[in-house]
Amino acid sequence: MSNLRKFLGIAVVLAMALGLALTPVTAQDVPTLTVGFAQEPDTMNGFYSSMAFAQWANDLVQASLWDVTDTLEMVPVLAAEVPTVENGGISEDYMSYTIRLKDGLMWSDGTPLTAEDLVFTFTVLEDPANNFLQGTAIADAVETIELIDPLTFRLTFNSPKPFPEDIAGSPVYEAEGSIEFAPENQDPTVFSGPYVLTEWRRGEQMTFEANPNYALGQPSIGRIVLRFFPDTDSQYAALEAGQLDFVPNVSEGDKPRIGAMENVSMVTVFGGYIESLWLNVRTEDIPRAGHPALQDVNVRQAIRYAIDRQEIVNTLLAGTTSPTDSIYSSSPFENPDLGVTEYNPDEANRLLDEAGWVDSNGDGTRDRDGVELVLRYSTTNAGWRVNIQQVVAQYLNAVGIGTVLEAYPASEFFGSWANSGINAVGEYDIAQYANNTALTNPANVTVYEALNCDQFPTEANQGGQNFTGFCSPEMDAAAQVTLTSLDPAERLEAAFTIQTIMRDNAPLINLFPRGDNYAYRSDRFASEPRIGSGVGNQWFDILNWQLVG
Amino acid sequence: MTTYIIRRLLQAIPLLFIISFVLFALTNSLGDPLAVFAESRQRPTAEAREEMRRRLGLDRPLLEQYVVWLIGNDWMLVDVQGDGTVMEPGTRQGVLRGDLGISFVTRRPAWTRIEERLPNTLTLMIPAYTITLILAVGIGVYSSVRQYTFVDNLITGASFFFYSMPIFFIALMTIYIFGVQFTRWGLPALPIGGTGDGSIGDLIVHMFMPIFCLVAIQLAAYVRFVRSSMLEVLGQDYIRTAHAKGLSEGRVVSRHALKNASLPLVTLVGLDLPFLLAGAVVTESIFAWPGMGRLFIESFERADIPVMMAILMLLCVMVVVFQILTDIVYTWFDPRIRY
Repeated sequence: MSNLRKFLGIAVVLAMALGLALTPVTAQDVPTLTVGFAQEPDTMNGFYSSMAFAQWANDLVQASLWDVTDTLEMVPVLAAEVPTVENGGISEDYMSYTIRLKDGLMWSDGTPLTAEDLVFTFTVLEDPANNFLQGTAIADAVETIELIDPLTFRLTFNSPKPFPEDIAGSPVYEAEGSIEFAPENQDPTVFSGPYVLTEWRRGEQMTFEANPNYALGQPSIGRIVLRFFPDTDSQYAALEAGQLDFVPNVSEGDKPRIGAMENVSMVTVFGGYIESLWLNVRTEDIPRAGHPALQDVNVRQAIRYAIDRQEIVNTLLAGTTSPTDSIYSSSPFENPDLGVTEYNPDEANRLLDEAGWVDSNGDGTRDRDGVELVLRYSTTNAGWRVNIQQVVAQYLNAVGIGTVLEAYPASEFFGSWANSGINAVGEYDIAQYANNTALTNPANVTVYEALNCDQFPTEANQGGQNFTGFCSPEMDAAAQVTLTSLDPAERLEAAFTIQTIMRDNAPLINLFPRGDNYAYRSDRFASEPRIGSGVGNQWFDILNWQLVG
Repeated sequence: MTTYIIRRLLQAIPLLFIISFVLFALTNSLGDPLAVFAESRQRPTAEAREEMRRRLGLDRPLLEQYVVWLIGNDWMLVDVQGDGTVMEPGTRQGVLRGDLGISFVTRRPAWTRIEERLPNTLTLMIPAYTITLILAVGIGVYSSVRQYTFVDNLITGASFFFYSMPIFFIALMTIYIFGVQFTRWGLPALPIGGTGDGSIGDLIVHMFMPIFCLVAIQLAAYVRFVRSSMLEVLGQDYIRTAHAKGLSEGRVVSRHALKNASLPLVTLVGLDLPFLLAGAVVTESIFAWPGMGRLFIESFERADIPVMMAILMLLCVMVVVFQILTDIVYTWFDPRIRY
């Protein structure tokens, strides 16, 4: 026994001594930026991922033809200039793009990067055997791919293509056969971006070193380490302790907490997401119709009047954003004269009374013809969403609308028709999630897909994307204009029309535009870093980031 | 003995089939693997998603999917467009031919993903479990021999204190004290998360906090277990006989009491060991440790069915194997046991 005790005593003392002796001294040979990622990228081939973290990791190592900055300007990277009709890069009819690359471009291994590589990339993209998840829209639109000279190539489309930003894909190095399962996707070796991936310890971290052959020059931050922290609390602790320098993707609900940290600051870039309440206005109960009250536009508008969105933003989101009625909120296509519905419970009550929903049996919720006005309100189980859900429910209760609150894991909430996904089969009256707005052009996926008359999910059309059942032929026509018109003024006008229709018909109630929030150690960065908007490349300005200490 | 082992192994086969079907049905009902695309900024087109669903076979009935999981689909054609125009031969071999499938998330073999994580989990779990067992036997024996003394009461109290604490609380407190506050106080702080720079020394430093937490929450139960099973044995007649023969207390405790008291402990350890491979979900997540527990929870969140199934089946097989091993170890502890 005494031996055991002695052994344990010695072991404990040794362990503690070892711990102190081995505590890492932060000796860094090159300036290193340590970044905390909440998720590990699933692949290093951006064509096979739709994960934000994979995109961020990819953007470090893959250069695009041009980047979109935080102010939504397009700056050339591999291309010598962004093609326009004026500079002759885009044909008068917008049917073909001629793109010239910069002279002397190189891959990270020193081999020349030429127009041939881009031609190869678009050819690969065209090949259906590759089963790409991304870029399929471009692949469908491209008619011919021509190599003009070593620095120039031309794409011809099957219909006019007014938006050059869609084409800014990254070149593929080389591939044989289908590249769906190519080892390069997981262990790439040759790069075109500002960094090269030197090590990927699965589940733990990725290490990137500066690429001396990058088109825009070598970044001054010599090394970037992406560390994966699945637990937000420990990630923030590491940030607070100075063991992380930069944390992207800070959730809305965590802003107050990050704000209270010493030496930690935040950058918020609007990324195109608008948190909204989607109302189920389906009538056929295949598989489930929404609450009958939601058919009435007055009830839908009453819901909007009943919620104090400003108060929600102030208390739950530290006042960092503001309510909106525009589906194009914070984008260049937002109608500045649209206005915002003010919180007005009296108006909500009036509209509901007028619609015939009154509390006739005195149970606290309104009813009509024996049907209680109780709405199934569901969202994902993200903590900040659930908080908002609770508060919105209280506002609704105050005007006599009852709610049943539900929160599902994202994989159930957004599941497909076949998997009985909550949204797809309409198992909700109010669904809270974010829609994506267009930042660089007014063709808005929320409008032309998620609210389109032809997109109802049914037994026959299981992939249908319009989960609300809202249909406005007038809006569909306007959406078509935003997609195909070659006249910017006409597109903008169509976007304004869409905003008015959406405001008046309220198929969804926008809560607020959500920012992409980035936390950084102010004692490590020489100045506030410029970060690209979500539609572009977050690292577009990485060459100008400077570290101190 | 050999006959016994062979019989047990044969019995395990139908059992594993039944378990695998139940698990397959459960993992498939967890959600839609393609739902992850819904809120993504770069949302693939609806057609691209539907085609992916067909390629993964997710549009087929559950029973058919299970058969494909078992024996593969390289003998059949997959209708990738959903209208019979493009028929591609399947590429999967099936579990029975050693193919655990391709991860939906990374498009790499499910087994490769496990291979990457298993060593990390064992690096964490084996030391934690060993330390727990050594401390549990030491402390448990001590407090049973000194029953109701101050030290015994102190140990009992402390045991319950740690036992009743949720792991995430201990883990986060540890991080805040040794990671955040130590930095603030200018003391050498412990690194938060990960396994370090690859050197053994750095690895050990990174193991401190997770191992401390794992030991802290497990220890109490084992100490109580050893103590009560020791107390039961210490009250037996043969212990009195051993004392009467004039044996020293150390000899009575270690030779006569502890060996006999170990039998229930062996059962418990036999049940626990296979789960070391499963890792510790919460501890690994909080300490950003790249282990199996995290792999499972990440696969769960993305409904990555092949990886979840691979992990679960690995554990099932391990449980069966360790149960048989436990039975064999019994014969050493108690020679009366014969099979």
